[in-house]
Amino acid sequence: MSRRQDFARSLADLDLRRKMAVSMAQALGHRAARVAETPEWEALRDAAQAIRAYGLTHLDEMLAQFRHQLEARGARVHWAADAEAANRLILDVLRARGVTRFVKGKSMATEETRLNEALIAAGLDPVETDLGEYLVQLCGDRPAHPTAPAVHLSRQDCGRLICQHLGAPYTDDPTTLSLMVREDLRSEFLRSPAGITGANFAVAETGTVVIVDNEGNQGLVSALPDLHIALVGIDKLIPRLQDLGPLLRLLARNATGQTLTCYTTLISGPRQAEDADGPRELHVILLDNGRRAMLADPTARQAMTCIRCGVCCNICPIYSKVGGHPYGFTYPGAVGSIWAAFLSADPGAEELAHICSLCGACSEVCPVRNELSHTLAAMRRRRHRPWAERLGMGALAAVLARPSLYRLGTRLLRWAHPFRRLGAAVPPIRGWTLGRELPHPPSRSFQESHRRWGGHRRE
Amino acid sequence: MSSDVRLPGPVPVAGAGDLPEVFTAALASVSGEAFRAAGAAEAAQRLLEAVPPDGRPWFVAERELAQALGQHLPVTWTDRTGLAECQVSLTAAEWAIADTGTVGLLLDARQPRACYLLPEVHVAVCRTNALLPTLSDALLRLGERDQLPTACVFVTGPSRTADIEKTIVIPAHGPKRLIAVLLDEI
Amino acid sequence: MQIALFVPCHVDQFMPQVAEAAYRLLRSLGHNVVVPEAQTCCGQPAYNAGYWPESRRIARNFLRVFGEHGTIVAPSGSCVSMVRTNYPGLFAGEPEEAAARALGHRVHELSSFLVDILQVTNLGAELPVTVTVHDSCHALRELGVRDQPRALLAQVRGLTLVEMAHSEVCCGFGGLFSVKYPELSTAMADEKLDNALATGAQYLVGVEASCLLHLQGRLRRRALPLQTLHLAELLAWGKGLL
Repeated sequence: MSRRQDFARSLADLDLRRKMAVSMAQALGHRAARVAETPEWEALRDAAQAIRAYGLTHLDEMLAQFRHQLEARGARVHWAADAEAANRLILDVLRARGVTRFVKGKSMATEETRLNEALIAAGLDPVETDLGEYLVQLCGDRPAHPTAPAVHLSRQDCGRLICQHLGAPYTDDPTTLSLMVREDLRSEFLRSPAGITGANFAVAETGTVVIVDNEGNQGLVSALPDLHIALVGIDKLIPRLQDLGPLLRLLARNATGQTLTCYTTLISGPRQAEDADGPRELHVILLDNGRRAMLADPTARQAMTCIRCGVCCNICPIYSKVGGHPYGFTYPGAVGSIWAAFLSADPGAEELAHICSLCGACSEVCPVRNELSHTLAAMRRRRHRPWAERLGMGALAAVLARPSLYRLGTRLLRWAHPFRRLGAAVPPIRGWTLGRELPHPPSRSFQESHRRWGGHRRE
Repeated sequence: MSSDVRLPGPVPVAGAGDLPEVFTAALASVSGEAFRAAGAAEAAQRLLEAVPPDGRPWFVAERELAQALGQHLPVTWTDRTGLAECQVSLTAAEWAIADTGTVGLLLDARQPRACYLLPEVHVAVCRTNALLPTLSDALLRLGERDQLPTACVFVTGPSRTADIEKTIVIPAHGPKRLIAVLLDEI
Repeated sequence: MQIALFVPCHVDQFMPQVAEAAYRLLRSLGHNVVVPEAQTCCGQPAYNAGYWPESRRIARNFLRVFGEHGTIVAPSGSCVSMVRTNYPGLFAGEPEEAAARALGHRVHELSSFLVDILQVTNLGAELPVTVTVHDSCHALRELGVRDQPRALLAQVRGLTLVEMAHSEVCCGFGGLFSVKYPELSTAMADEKLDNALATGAQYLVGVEASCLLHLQGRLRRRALPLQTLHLAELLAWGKGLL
């Protein structure tokens, strides 16, 4: 089924439109301020692009090195071919240690594998600790933005959700609500036997899992429990520790307009004999789930270099109106519409490549210089073409490829125009006239006039 | 890495300026606090003015810089088991990063992983001469160490969230205040 | 200089006055303008919809028609960008690849041709109107056309340019996108039109006829007090050529 209706439904939600407009404008405004004060901005993008492009050709080498380094420090590294394998691995590790209730840090990879659903179905009890994810979990929803999961909720929505959950009198004051959640989760952190996180980067050279956050929950989730499991997409690998420099500087500036997030946590192993604390066990699960297929596709592979800053969402004239939900895929926006073709279990997700006006605003701001709109245009060669459209396009090409038919078509168009109402049932005309008047073709086309009178007569 | 690598070197930063000044301003812009002191005694004095002890114990990391300051403080110390209940955690930063107002902490036997997150106030002491222009400089130095600690963290301001209508709220799950102390001499 | 006028199909069919204006403007500057007879379309509609073999069939005609011409100018950023940016990829590995690449360097968008190549900004036009400018995506991002139309407008005596908010945001046309996802397309048009209306301008000026057709369709539906005008039309009008 077409996603057109999903997008139309979100468009009609004027409250959502207002929230999105405010949030996106704010995020872009903060970003613009950072760009303006960073004279080396373009040099950072060049560096980031080069670092990430390296990964496209050296993935196996980096994965081997990452694994070797981490295992040398006593971590366990697992491979997961797909979402189900990843969820199974995590469930097995948790079950073997008798874990039921545990804390989670914000992780889009676990959203991608629908880990919470799998674990809840198995009788476990994950507790989201990022405020945005906590809210999304409370309303049984999915994140609407890669870095701001609850961007679609108003403060009143948040107030109702949190106060009802904690049995407290209603308030919609963001400060009070945030502090109530802090209070609620503090005890969870202190008693949780396990913590699950994702990763923003994985450094091959040193076997380091890198997690960034603002709330401090990622540090607590990965430090306090005895068991830490990190689910890491294989696209997250970067070659060297120093490569984090340009990548992190670009990530925060693009995502939230911060110069750096509050916490950048680098984890290179479980607790060692000489350490004071930290989890005794560290499991890193490297997730493929369609990434290698994307890497093997010459059209789409560049999209593997994405660092998930979300700026292609914020700047998108479509996303910024409707948020992430109508995309029906974990990663919304331009880059998500590319990823969806390889990572989504829904074959209809290929349609997402078409739900774009190809304006190119995303390509212009992408920190790793992904040619997102060109890639989307090229991906439209894949499936998802209704037969009527194929037929129509074939006919159009036949006419436009032959000047004689084009001339005939010019006449036909003028002849048919008075009967245009009869065409109202034809999908392209119906689509156009839903919100627009049809243009009137003047009695003669430019070429007809020119042929008739030539250049000299007109002046 | 293989020899065909064409990985970029560090990206130079235009005009770093006076590092302590840049650092203090950058940290202030993210609601953090910073001051510079000539020695440990002076630093301890300034710290007590900034954070009057409220009777709860303080955690002092077993690192030279933290201990040097801790000696001058009229507070009871707690070990890592008391981190959740203490008022202040006094840690030693390996580096401070001017550009972003960041402190970089190594977390190991002498400085537990939870120490910078659980208490209400986090104080990070750093040598003034360990101020670096950017995060990249700190990462290069971290990479040069023989043995990477199993965990380290770069902290840029007190913990925050903006998940409810983008309103910034401090603190989130971590400390309410971050105070960086730049120490010229121990 | 001899200039071949590339008249995009939608201009030819629905906005012939835009091609007429471009033709007369270039002739008024003393150039010999020819209109190659057998031209039809650059192939962009099929290309953007993912029909590359179909697009190649159309583009081959373009290569045949314009292959012999040295300087090619079109009153459209998007079609120029199709030839310049997309032909190399479209013909990759095809016998026409080299010819397609070479052609890209010879085809120019009108305002950029006037300002960057001919280095003319003052065309001697006069028009006492208030206008606002819409930056079309492909002209702006693929061809770097942003300052050129403004430089030309600045020299039109009596004309007042009031910049609209977010002039660089897409108007929502996007080829087949506009009819496959009409709700999104018109919502984007509405934002553009509301921003344009807020300037109090009489005319919404652009360098891309396809954006203008779409915006005009929406304007008429909403019966808004605003008109669209192609930059070439405005300049030719101001010069008394139309």
